[in-house]
Amino acid sequence: MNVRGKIVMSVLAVFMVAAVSAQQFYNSVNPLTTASNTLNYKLTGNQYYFWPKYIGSVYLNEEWCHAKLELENGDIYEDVYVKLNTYLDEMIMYNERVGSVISLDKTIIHEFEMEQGYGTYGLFRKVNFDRIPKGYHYVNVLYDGSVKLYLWHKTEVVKRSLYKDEIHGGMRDSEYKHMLNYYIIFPDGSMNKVSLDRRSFLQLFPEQRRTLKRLFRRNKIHFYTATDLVQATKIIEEEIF
Amino acid sequence: MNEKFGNISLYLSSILLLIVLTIPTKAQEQIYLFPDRSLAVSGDTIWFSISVFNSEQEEMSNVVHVQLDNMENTHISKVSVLCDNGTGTGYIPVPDSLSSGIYALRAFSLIQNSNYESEVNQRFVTVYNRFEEELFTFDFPLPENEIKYQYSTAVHIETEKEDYKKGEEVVVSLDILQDVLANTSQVIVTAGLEEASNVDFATSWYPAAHKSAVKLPVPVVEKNGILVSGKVHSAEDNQPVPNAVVILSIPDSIPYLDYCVSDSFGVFYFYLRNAFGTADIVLQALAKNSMPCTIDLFEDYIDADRLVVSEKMLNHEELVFGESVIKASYFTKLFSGYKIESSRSFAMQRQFRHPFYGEPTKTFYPDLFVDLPDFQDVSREILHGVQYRERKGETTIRLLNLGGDAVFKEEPLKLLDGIPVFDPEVFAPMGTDDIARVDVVYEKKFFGDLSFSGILSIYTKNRSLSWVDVNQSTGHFEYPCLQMQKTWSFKNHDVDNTHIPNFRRVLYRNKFDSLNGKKELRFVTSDLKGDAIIRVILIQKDQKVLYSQKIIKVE
Repeated sequence: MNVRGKIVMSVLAVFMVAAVSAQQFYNSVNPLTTASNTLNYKLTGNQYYFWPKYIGSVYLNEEWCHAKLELENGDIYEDVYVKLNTYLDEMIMYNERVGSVISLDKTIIHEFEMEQGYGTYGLFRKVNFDRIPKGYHYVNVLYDGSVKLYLWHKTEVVKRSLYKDEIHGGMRDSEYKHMLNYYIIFPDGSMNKVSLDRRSFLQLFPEQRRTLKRLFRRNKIHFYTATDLVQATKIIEEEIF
Repeated sequence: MNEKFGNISLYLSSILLLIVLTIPTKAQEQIYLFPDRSLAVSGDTIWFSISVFNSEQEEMSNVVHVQLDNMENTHISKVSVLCDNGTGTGYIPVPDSLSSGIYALRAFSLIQNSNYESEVNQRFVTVYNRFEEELFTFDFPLPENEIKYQYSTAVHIETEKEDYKKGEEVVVSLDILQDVLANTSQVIVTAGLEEASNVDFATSWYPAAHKSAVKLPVPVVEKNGILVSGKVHSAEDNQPVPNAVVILSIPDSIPYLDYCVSDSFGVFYFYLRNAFGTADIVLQALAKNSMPCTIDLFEDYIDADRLVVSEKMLNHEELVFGESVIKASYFTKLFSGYKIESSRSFAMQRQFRHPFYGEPTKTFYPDLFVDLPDFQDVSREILHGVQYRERKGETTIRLLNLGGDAVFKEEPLKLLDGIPVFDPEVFAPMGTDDIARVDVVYEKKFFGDLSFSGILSIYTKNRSLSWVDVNQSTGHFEYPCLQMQKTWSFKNHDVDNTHIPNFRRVLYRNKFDSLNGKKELRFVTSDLKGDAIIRVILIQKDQKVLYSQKIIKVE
């Protein structure tokens, strides 16, 4: 079976399960059981319909990852399987009991811890951006002190050379590209974009430029990786705030 | 041989004892109740303070239920009080129709009600009925089970004099020893007229033994919320209905909806958080083959063992005192009128900005358009994307599906003032004059494990639930949630209008979380003559309750 055939079959399988299990209040064929009961606020969302048009992935994680969700009212769901669609900036949940893929309402989510391979978990939080793109976005919390460091995973559609679309047919000239956007948040809540270079950090503190330069050098921070940014944030927290 | 056997048995029993001692015992919750009076007249409101102790702070409930029972264990009323940091205050009205006699106030948490071994705090109150003219005997609980509070000499209560006139200001100086205060978590000061036979009720508590522990459908420690549970029965044979989907809805501008699937015994439960006052709860049960059901809610009163009582003739002093408080109550009602507490008010803190169906795709306000007489016209002219059809005596509603660029094949979730509607004909007579707002969601929506092919939510101008009561498998309940929080309304100071008689029996009441040793208090005596007792209760951090009191005369 070619790639297109496999995808069509798997999509059909998902919808068949959904047709049998998902229900409006009562389904005599497949009634809900007490496993659906919880004292927590019920997770709400829409049917997930997204169809990728281009090559490249729109997900931060291709596999369904175990996650622990915390809702805005403090309720906690310990055992859910999610994907983060970084193109739509939506969290997608697989509801095993009803066999449906649901795009969770962003308004009810506060934060979530998502497995990022080999038992390690990354903390993601819903944050209101006061700048373009304004609104609520899920960001990866890299450092959570009085000064915070956020990483916003964003997939964008970028132009590229023409290629043949194996799935939908025809020719395409764009692809999905995963972008990493770092933001440092000061104790007063102000948000500043930084990048993987020393200059972007030093520009934020023109008066302490010299001190910071010395501290970065002394701590061997080269601004090559996210870990370097975390260390730099810690130094800023300790020395400046 | 015997010696060897004895050694082995000694060895085994010491291991057993070690195991028993090392098994962690489940933290027991202990609740103390302190009413403001031990004597009430029917129609009065008894105010009380609560202290909750639990060695495991994480497991401690902050909701305490207080119920009023008579000596035959008939439940009169119950309130649920929200506590903060282990303390709380509440009030329980004494019904006007209550007969004269001794009544029990029992305070318990849901955890205590489900634990057979828990010790329930019980206090007694003498109630005089305003309309009973002749009082002779009361059934008094035997003092054998009484646990007296410890009298403390560390608390000094001083007044300027011993005898006071009616309406005179009393200045009280409190002096509590620092080492006692250091171990005190709360100080409650009360001053009021009391009769000698009631003093015991005011300075002791009676542990009540459980008759039967309530089996909780789900392990829950009530924190800022109450558990609402009940049972679904078949309307035909009264058998419990398992796997029925029970929907709870509370109409509001942002409606509340939840669901629960009944277990094998037909039991369902909901946890209502931050709900204060009396809720208009609508419960709908959906079972296999549309089986008609009936829904019962559990009241969750605590059932204590029946008290051992002895009949006691009232002596002359008690009779005179009883008659005087009844007369005083009569005149108070005559001059001040009745203050009936509004039990219908309800407030529920919103957990999220939007209703459970999220942000609507579109909101319509039909009132802004031309007058249309019925829903068919409203849907055709105003509600774009809503397909309402009446054909061959059958009414159907379908919504546009934005995800699939077509119309859903199934009925959407239809809500009328936040309550699910299963018969679309309910909407038929509604015109633009009746509808305040319509929220529509043109997407497949999930709520927990339920899914809906779009949502049509209609809010009427005149929010009436009359249509709900006629439906089968539906129950409409006025459910008491957490008690609306109110501050004590004791007039501790001079009453302005001296022409109106003042027959207050509780003259002063205050609660202090911290005191620095000395405190001056002031209150004014009422027009009632008799002994007024100034009582100071110290609730110790180690759960001991100490008290001290001073009697002054009001002539």
